[in-house]
Parts: sequence; structure tokens; C-alpha cells
Amino acid sequence: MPRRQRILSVGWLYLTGLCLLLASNLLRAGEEVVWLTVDAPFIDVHTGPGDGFPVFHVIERGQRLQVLDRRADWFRVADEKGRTGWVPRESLLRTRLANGEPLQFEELDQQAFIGRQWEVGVSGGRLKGAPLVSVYGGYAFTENLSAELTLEHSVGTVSSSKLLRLGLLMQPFPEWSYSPFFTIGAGYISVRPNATLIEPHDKDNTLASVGIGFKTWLARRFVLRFEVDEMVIFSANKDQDDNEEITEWKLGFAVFF
Amino acid sequence: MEIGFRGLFLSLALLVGSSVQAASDPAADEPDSVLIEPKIERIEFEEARIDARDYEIALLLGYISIEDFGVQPLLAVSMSYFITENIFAELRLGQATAGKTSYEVLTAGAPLLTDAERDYQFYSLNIGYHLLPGEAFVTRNLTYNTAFYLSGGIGNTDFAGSDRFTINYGAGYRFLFKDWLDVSLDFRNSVHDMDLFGELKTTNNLQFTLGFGLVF
Repeated sequence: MPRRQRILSVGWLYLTGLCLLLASNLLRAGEEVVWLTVDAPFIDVHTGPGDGFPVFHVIERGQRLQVLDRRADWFRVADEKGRTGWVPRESLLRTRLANGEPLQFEELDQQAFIGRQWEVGVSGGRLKGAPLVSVYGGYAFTENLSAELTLEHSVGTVSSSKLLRLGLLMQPFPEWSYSPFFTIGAGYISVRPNATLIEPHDKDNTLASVGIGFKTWLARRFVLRFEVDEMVIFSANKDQDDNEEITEWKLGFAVFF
Repeated sequence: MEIGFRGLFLSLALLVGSSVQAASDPAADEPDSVLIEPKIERIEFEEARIDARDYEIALLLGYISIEDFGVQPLLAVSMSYFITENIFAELRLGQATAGKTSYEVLTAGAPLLTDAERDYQFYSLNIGYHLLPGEAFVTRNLTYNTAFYLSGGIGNTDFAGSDRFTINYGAGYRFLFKDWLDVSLDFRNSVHDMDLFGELKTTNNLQFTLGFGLVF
């Protein structure tokens, strides 16, 4: 029965994606077409999104094109005869609107990263010597302060741990190319012993953490991130006097929006 | 009479003066405003309104060879984000049910695992790269974009009652039928440790899937 439910949930996920797709297609159908006029001697039109795809025709100065959609920094365009192909962002910047104004495009550089609002990332590392997988989402209130929700899974030989943490991240020098940050957080850890061991039950505890690390902007929406965290697990009880302290490090990448 | 003429002149002068005054004020502004007023219409072109097809959600069907437990059907979903036109990040969730080991079949004794422990579930976080983007020429007038890609990452496999840290790597061939639809043939190895038979060993679990992806 649970298996059937899982398959159903997978099906639902897929169906939701399909609906989103249809909805976005319908929304896009109603939009008016904006024509752009080529302002360079000519621009190359490729057969696919990437420098390696061959150039199969050119659009010359004064001719018009319209933008259909994009994949990352490549734009699918149609010329006046309806031929479609792909042009890179740099080429599209060498066109003008019908009123002669140049296009305004968002520059995805380090400044864009500093001014970001949302950030989503994944990392791999070690928690108390065991391999760790980590995902997080962050929201930036200012250039220097953001809130993050982190979900982690560490799988050791004796047990596996799942952690959920909510934290604040302070980034005092966002403009540095290797920008340091500090975090404080609190959360929850659930330790599940492996089946081959005779352990009574799962252990759930709250925890607090402090961390230090750095982020560096790589390209486009791409950021590299390294972090070391020190955590205190509030596991003291009548059988155990001390709280447990564990160290974690992780290296990963993030994309920002 | 003189007063009459003078009065007339004065009133005329006043009238002309005031009308000149009245006319001169807007006249001073008008040429400027006429010059500044653009005859071109405003055109809204917002980058955000260009459809970015940077996400893909795919349903994957295929087979997985679970080491010691036979080859079984596999069902998985993947969600990808294209960071550039060639680099993508992927979350993959999958599930299969392990079969019987040769030992269980031959001895017909007590099963090694319960039914629940035979559930093989995994997730992985991968990074992929379109190593060889290309085109396939189906007929003279029908061409599709394709890509041979490499991808790999880390994740977890929940099998035989325990979580197992898993590394996976593989390669595939992606065929873009439409700008919103692609089909991928994917071959992948999931590597994790198992200690079920008393000694710790590294297992290789090969999976072969056909994926139907929606790009949006």
C-alpha cells in the first residue's frame, strides 16, 4: 500500500508539472510581439543554444527579429521570414527597439549576487566524520543579513542523522571576491540507528550551531560556498551528563535569484 | 476729442500690451515643449517577460540491477535547473523493490529481508554537463538538437533497513523533440557500501532509464 501511494505521489508531481507547463503556455499566448532591429553589421544565428552549433544564417543591419524564448544566456529568435534559430545574449544586446532605444538587460555579475534576494544551494561534506548531503534555501533581508533553512542528511556506518536548522547569516563584506560569513542557528536532529545494530529506538534532540565560511561568485547565477559549523546537541538527560558537540564541514554551490 | 483719442490709444496700447504679454508667456515655453515632446511611442521590453526555459521535470522508467538482489523495474523523477545552457543541477528521486538473492532461491529458507526492507529508495543531488551538444538529422528537413551529457553526484539509498551514503555517476543522451519536450536515455552507476552479509562491501548498482522531460 505505501508503495502504491509513492507511485501515486510521483504521478501527481508529474501531473502538476504538466499543468504548470500548460498554464505557462496559455499565458504566453496572449502576449504581444516586440520586434527588435539589428544594430550591428550582422548577427549570427545558430542552430542550437551554444557556440558549437553551426551558424545557418545571418540577420543583417536594419532587419528585424523577435525573441521567442531563452535557455540561460541563449535566445531563440525568429526573423521576418519566420526562420527560427539561436543567438547569444551579446548579439541580442546589439539590437534596438522600434523606437531606437537600446535593450536594457540585467547584468548577472557579482553586483547582481550582492543584490540577490533568494539563494538555493547544495553541498557535500562531513558531519562527525560521516558523509553529509546538505541542501539549503536562503532569503536576504539586506546585503549583509540573510535567513537560511538547511536540511541535512548524514549517513554513517553506525547510524544516519537528519538535521533541520534555521539560521541567520551575516556577511560583513559582500563586495569581497571571497566574502566571509558567520552563521548562528538552531534546529533539530534525528538519529536513526542502522538495522544491523541492536539499538532501541531513534533519538531526537534539539541543537544550536555557530559557523564560519565564505562564498565566492563564479559565473552567472553560480556561487561556490564553503562552511564549517560547530554544533551543540542538547542530549543531556538522566543517563548522560554532557551535551554532545559535533563539527561539520561542507563544500557546495548555490544559485541565486 | 484729444482725450478720446488718447484714451483710445491708451486702451489699445494696454490691450495690445496685455495680449502680447499674454501671448509671450506661453510663447516662451511652447517651442521647448514642442521640441522635447517625442514623436515615438514607448515600447515595453522587459527581460523578465522572455520565457526562460531553464527548468526540467522528468519521469524516468527503466531497470536497476541491485547487486545480489536481481534486476528490477525502476521508477524515478528528476528535477533539473539549467545554470547555463550546458551545466545543470539535478535532484533525482527513485524507487524499486529488490528481488531475492540466489541464496534465498536455492535454499528456499528464511528470507534475508522483510518485504519493507526490500524497498529500495534513493535520492541524489547531481551536477551535469552537456559534454557533446549536437544535432541529429532524422530526414533531409527534420533536425533535432541533442546532447551527450555526463552527470554525477551524492545522495542516499535507503535499503535493507538502513540509510547508505551513495555516490552516483553516469552518462546519457538527450534528444530535444520540442522546445518543451525532451527524451533522455540514461545509464548510471550508484555505489554504496553494504554490510548485510556480515562483511562490509562496496556494491555497484547499475541503472538504465528512459526519461520523458518537460522543459519550462
